Amino acid sequence: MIGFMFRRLLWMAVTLWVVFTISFFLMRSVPGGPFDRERALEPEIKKNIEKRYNLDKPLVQQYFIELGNVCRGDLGYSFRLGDYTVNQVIAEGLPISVALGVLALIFATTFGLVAGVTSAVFRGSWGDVTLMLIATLGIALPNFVIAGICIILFVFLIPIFPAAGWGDFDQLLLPAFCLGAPYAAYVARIARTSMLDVLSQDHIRTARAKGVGPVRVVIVHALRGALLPVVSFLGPAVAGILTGSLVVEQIFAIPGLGSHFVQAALQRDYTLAMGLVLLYTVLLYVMNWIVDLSYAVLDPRVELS
Amino acid sequence: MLSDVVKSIEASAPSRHATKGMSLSQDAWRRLRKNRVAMLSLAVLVLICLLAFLTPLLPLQAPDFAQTELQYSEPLLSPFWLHTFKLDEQRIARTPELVAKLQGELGTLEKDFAAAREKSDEEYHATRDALRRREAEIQDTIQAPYRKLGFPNLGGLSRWMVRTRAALFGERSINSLCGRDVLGRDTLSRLFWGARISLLVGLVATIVSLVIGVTYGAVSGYCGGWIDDAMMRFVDVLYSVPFIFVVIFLLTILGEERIADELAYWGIDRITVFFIVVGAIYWLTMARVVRGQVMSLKHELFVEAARSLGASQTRIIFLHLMPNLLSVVLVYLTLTIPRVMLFEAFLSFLGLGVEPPDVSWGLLANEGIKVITPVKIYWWLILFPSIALGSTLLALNFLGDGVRDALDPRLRDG
Repeated sequence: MIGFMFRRLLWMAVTLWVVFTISFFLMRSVPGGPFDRERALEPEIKKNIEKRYNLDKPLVQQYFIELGNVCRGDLGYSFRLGDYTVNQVIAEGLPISVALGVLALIFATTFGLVAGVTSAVFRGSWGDVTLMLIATLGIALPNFVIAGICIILFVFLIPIFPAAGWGDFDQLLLPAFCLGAPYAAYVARIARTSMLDVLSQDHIRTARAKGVGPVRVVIVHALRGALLPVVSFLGPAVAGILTGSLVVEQIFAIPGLGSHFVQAALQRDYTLAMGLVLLYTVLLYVMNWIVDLSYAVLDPRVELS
Repeated sequence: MLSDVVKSIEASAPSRHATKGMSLSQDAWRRLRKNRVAMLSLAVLVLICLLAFLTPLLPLQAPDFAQTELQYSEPLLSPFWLHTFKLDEQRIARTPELVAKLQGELGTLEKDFAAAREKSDEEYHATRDALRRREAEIQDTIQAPYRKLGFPNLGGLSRWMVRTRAALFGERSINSLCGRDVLGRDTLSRLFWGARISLLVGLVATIVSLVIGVTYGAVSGYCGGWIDDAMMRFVDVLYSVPFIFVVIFLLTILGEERIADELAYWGIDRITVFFIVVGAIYWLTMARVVRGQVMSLKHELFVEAARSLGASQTRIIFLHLMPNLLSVVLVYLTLTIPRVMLFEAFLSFLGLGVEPPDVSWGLLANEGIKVITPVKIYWWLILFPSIALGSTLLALNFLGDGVRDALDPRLRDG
C-alpha cells in the first residue's frame, strides 16, 4: 500500500518534470516574450522586465532557477496580467472551477447511475430504449452544442435560468448540467452493462430465491458489484470534465481556471499557461490515485501495485 | 511437393461450392447490413460526404460574401432563388497568360535564389522573401475572380466546379434558408463549406493517428522485452498528461508569427500543423490495442508455421500479422473519427483551430454562441451548425458501434 503510493508519487514527479522541461524549452525557443509589444521599449525598462522574469541570465541557469521555483510551488509572474503571479490567478480561479467540476461530477454520477440501473432493470422496455438513445445523443454531441441548445431553451424560451455570470447557485446549475451531461451519458451506458452482467449471476438468483424483494436485490446485492466499472470510469471522466470546463466557462462567462487558460493560450501568456498545465497534471494524477484507492475499497480482491 | 498435397486435398473436398467459406470481411458486412441503424447512419454519412465534396458545384451563395446591410436576417424561404452570382468569366479566361508571365519571372528568381544560397545570410533572406512574394502574386491572380465573389482559396478541382456551376445555374443561387450572420453571410453555404473542413480534419487526423499508433504498437509488441517495457512506460506517462492542454499550448507556440512563417516556407500551413497535432494525441489507445493484439498473435501456430517455412520477418508482419490486426484497427478507426471531429470542433470553438477565411462547424457554433446577448438571440446561428455537427457525429457513433459489433462481437459493450 505504502509502496504503491510512493511509486505513484514518483511517477507523478517524473511526468511533471517532463512536462515542465518540454514546455520550458518550447517557451524559450519562441521569439518574443513578455515585453513583445507593438512599440519598442526603452532599454532600461526592458532590462527591468528581463530581470523580473530572469531572462537576463543564461538559458541553463534560467532553467534551474525556474525548476527550483516550481519545486517550491512558486510559478512566477504572469506574462500578461500585469501584477498577478500565476499562484494568485490559481488561488482565485481554482475554487470556482472546483465548485463547477464537483457539481458536474455529482450530477454525472447520480443521473448516470440512476438511468443506467433503471434501464438495466427494465431491459428491453421502451424506457430502456429511450434512455439509451438519449445517452448516445449525449455522447455524440459536443458540450457547446448542448450548452447552446440549453441556452435557447432555458434562458430565452422558458426563462428560468440566468444566461451567464457567476455568484448565485442558480448561475451554477446550467453550466454544471452542460458540463456533466456527456459523462452522465457514459456512466449510464457503463452502469447498464455492468448491472446486466451482475444481475445474471448466481448470487442474485440465490437472493431472489430466498425471497429478497426486487428493490433490495438491486440496491443491496447488485449495485456494489455494478459500481466497479463506473468507478474506474471516473478517472477519465475527471479528465474530460477538466477539459470541458474550458468551453463551458467560456460560454457562461465564468471566471474559473478554464477561461484563464484559454485567454492565456490566445494571448501567449506562457508562464500562466505552463503553470496551469502543471496544475492540471497534478489534479489528474491525484484523481486517478483516489479512483484506484476507492477501487480497492470496493473490491477487496484488487491488489494495488 | 507441398502444393501437390494441397491440390489433392482440394480435389477430394466434396462439393466445394456448397461449403464455400465466408471471409471475415464478408461475414462482417453481412452482419453490418442487418443492423438497420448502422446502415441508415452509413447512408447519411455517404450523403454528407458527397454533398461536402460537391459543394462548389451546388447553387449556393459564396461562403465569404459579406452583405452588411443584410446583417442577421432571419431564415427566408421565399423567394427561393437569388440572382446575384456573377462570375467574371472574361477575367478567368485572361488568367492563364498573366500566370504564364509571372511564372517566367518566378523562374529567374529561383535561379537567383539558388545562387544567393551560397552568399550572405541577408541576401538569402531577401531573395527568399522576393520569391515568396512572387508565388503569392501568382496565387492571387488565379484566385482573384473567385475571391471577389467571396470564395476562400480554391484548388484546381474546386475552381472547375465553380465554373461548371456558373454554366449550369447561371446567376441563380439559393436564398438564405438558414439565415445570415453578423456580416450578412449566408449560413447555409457556410455550413456546406464548413463540412468540407470538418470532415477533412476528421479523416486526415485519424489517419495520422492510425499510422503512428499502429507502427508504435506493432513495433512494441513484436520486439517485446525491455524495448516493449520502455515504449509502454512512455505511453503510460503520456496518458497521465492532460493532453489537450499541452496541445493548446503547442498550437499557440506553433502559431507564433515567425514560427508560422518559417513553417509556411516549408509548405506546412496551419491546417497541416493542426492535422499532425490532433493526430499525434489520439494514437495512444490505438498503440496499446495493436500491441496487445500483436503480442497474442506472434505466438500463434500460423506464425510459427510461416517462420518454419522460411518466411522473412517483413513477410510475417505484413502478410500474416497485419490482416489479423485489420478488424481491431477498423473498429478503433470508426470510433476515433467522431472523437477527432469533436476535438476539432472543440478547438475551433475556442478560437485555436481552423481560422477564417476557412470555416468549420465548430467555428460556426462559436460564432453563434458569441453573439448571444441578454436582449436578442439569433437562434439560427446556433441551431443549424449544432444540427449539422450533431447529426454527423451521431451517425458516426452509430456506425462505429455497428462496425464494432459486426467485426468483433467480443468487444461489444466494452
